[in-house]
Amino acid sequence: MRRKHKVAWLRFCRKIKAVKVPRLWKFSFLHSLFLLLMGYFWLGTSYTFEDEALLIKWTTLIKKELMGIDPKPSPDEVLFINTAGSKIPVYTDADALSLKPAVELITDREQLAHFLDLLLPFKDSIPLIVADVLFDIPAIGDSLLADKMTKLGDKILSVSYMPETDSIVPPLFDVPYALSTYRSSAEMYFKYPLAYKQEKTVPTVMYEKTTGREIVRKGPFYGDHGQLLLKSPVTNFRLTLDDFRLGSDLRQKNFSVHHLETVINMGQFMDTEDLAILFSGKMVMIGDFSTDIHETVLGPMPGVLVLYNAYLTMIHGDNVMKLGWLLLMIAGFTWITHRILSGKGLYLLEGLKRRLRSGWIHFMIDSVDEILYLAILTLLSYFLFNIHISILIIFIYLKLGELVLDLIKTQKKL
Amino acid sequence: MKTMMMILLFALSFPLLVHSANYYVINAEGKIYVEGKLLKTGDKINDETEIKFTSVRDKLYLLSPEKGNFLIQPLNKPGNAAPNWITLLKNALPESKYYKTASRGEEKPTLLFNDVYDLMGFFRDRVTCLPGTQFSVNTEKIQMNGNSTLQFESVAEGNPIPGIQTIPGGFVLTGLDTSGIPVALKLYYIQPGDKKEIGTFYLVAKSRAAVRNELALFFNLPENREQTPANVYYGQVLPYIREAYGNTHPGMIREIIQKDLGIKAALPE
Repeated sequence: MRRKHKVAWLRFCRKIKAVKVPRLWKFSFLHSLFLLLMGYFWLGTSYTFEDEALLIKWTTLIKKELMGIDPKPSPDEVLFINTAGSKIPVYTDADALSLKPAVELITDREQLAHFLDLLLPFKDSIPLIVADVLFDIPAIGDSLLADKMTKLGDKILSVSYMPETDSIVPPLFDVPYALSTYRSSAEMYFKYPLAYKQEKTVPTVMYEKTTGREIVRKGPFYGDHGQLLLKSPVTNFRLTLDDFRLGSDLRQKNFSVHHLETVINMGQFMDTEDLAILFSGKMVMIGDFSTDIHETVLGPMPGVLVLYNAYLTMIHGDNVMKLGWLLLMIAGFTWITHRILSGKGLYLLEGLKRRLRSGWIHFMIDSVDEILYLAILTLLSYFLFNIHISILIIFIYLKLGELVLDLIKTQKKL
Repeated sequence: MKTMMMILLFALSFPLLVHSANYYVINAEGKIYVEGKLLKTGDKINDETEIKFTSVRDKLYLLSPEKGNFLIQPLNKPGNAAPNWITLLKNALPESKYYKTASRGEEKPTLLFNDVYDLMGFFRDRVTCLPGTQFSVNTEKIQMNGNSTLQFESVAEGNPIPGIQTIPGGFVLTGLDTSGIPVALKLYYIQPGDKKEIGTFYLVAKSRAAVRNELALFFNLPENREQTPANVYYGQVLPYIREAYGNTHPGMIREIIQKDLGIKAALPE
């Protein structure tokens, strides 16, 4: 039986070898691999063009709003704590030229310590507590907070940040932390890197802690158990501010934002069983929902929600380069390359081209045609695999290549 | 026979196994009673608790450890002669409707919207409002009568939608949820045969007390006591308000500083 299979396989291979693939298609295939590599590295950077931002925004809205493809996490998986109402002033060195106040409002460390105290009895059943709160300025209640954090051990994850000086500012306490910094060139949040300057970021560490897996770096590539990962995936927002509501139907579960002070006060009155229901099995996300706001394609979003969505993007494998996605990209890029090199293929605007004779107008019409195909490719990539690809840089590269080829052809004719 | 007995025992014990969810009172606005006792923060009730409202304006904010936060109000469905004042909590499913509260008649509006473009400039990105804030409009250009009006619409289903109460020369937002959580809204200017979109924005409603407490921090700092209130206002309060509040009514901020914090010095307009 095995011999029979082997013979069939050999026959199949022989037939494949016998197929004569034109040289242009072979070159297009090889070039598609180069484009894929280029796309991989471009996605790994912090740059996103405004035009791509528009495309990302509209594809996201079409998928979520028009087509209703918008799977949500369960309210049973996460608990959001808002620190906006629990601020105290601390004095900082004022910059004489700055209009900013010489006082910083920071999260009340004592209140935070009281809240962590509520969590302590349930720490074994809580997957992770993420405190998206900077602890870089000493304040009242530090020792109390440090004590509670020590007791929570590796169940808590604090944050550090990287200012323009490129040196990490860690928390004042001895507590597990990760980097909570992303870079954007479009004054808008799009993607969270797995690591930044070799330092793993908060969503990456959240993923590692909750799954027990480790994301490893090999040269310029990142991998997770043999799967190749995108270094900076565009975040797929599964949970937005619109999902939070003050419920009116007691039969429904809602995503709620609990004020830090309210939970501490309620904690005094609540039964142990109810506290267990409130905390157990949930990832606890602590952050400021009022002032730590980031502009995203879906509107303003609190930093802690950005972190949670970046984590969900990883948990759902939206940053994994799956075989199907690779095949789609290779097929798409091969076809587009072949179309540019041969001038043959499906032209959506062929009718318009026939009416107009100018070479430059043809070039422009072809450009519109090609960008449409690249847009279709990114749509397919996002709709089927939840991965946004950067098409503008690929388009610019392709058009430059086409111009160079045209120049060479013209030179040869002369 | 043994199996039959098991099934019978399970069937009899089933009602005992049904989980009754607990709710904790975060805040009770108005006078709301359970078994003759006034509800207060921290009280525990469940699905079967009979709650008695004394006014249609009563609001009960609850925390469910299992299901999140809830707002319960007395039912007042159209067609009902009177609101259901007494109801089991499990039956209290209020409509997504907010009731107008009294406005502050003595306050004079200071922010004037001359035309729809002024409205568009204000109601965008992030807007912070306080209950009772009065907005002035140029009624020659923005008519606000029975036929023409401003109207909020929610961007997402289930979001609380504030009301707009027309007052002479302007309007007041009513039914604001002062929890401080941003709510995505659209504002339209509706005229006969025309519905103009003013803007999409996040509305944050804050209580007067919360704003007062935040502002008090700036004026109570020892090093600020030697500065004039105008300096603190310009140098610290305004940059903070711009950053943390987005667009807000400047008159309200000045009024809180002057009236609530008792800072008598005239602040620049």
